[in-house]
Amino acid sequence: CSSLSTSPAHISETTPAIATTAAMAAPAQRPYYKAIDLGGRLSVRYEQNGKEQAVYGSFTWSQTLDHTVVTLLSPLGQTLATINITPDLSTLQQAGQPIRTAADVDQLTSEALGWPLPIAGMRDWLQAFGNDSKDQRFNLNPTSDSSAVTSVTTSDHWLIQYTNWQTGTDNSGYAKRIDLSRNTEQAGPVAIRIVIDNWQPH
Amino acid sequence: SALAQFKSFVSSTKSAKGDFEQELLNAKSNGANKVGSPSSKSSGTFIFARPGKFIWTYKQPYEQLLQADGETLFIYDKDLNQVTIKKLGDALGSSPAAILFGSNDLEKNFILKEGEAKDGVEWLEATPKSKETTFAQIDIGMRNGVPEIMKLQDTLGGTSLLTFKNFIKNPPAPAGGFKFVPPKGADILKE
Repeated sequence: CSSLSTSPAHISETTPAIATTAAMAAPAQRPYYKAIDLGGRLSVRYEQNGKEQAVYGSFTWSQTLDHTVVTLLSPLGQTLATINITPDLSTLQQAGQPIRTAADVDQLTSEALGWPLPIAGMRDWLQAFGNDSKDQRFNLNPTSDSSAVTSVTTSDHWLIQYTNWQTGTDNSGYAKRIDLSRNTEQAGPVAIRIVIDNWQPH
Repeated sequence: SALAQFKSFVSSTKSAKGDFEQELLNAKSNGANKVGSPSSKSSGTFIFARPGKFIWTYKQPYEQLLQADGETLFIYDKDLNQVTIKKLGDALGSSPAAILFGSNDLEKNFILKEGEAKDGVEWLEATPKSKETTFAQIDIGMRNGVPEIMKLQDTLGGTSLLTFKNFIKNPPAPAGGFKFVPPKGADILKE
């Protein structure tokens, strides 16, 4: 449906006589990439026995259909941890420590790192897909106005805010800045900020 | 020899400044880890003064600042609009910062070995003595008495190549010294 809008704000040279705002146009169905290479920076704020902790560094995320490799690096580029995720087993290797394995990658990372890194969920969320609090599948669309904040609460209570949408190489949109927050038993209020620097779908 | 060049560099260089280029080479994790992607190349400027004061500024592909005033390390990320504050002690340890900006006696933290000499660059191989560091080996390529290249191999198979350009020894100190002033409106995270 479209509305006849007279306010000048809606009228620009490209819109037809009857102005339709972008939000009302049918959202383009964005593809979910089963294989993609991502990279960027992340910071995590959490609590450890009541004391505030902060972690900051960069990450690479190399995902194929059944195998994802995530590396966490220090600000100066040293590899701090390498996490290999397959459907039935995940392994985590940290500098100078024995390899850890677990079936559930999220349990593995929170035990090893001391802070929750919701990798299972991020597999969807980094591409702005996921299940919302009513367990409905969401597929957020890039807003033309890159400062607009698109947010959603996931079925496992993460509040995720997407801002600064960019157009990828195949002009599919992706959010450059993703903020996740949630109250957790193990690490108190957790706030994760992610900036995507490298987006290479396959 | 590389060791002689490095020792004279350390004793004669109280401070230095210049530009750097950094490339992260493929981590040997068994996954298809493409660290060689665009985001693995970065560049910026540095200035340091012994012991433990430096301003390491990434300009490309994003703005990130690592500044140490001798006691505390401040890391500012513009896109995240955050400053992370860490004690310098453990951040310096046996890391590239210690070699270039730290106290001068390298032998305390590293085993030093003469490496090869190629195209006018003499290589010094430094292996950290302590095991809790994220480094397996650091190679320093010396040319005309100053470090030109550093090759940092971490214990998980990642390699970082740092190339220095316009290396100026003992320049005048920066105007505001090495005191860090958090940008307005940036969130502060303490570690």
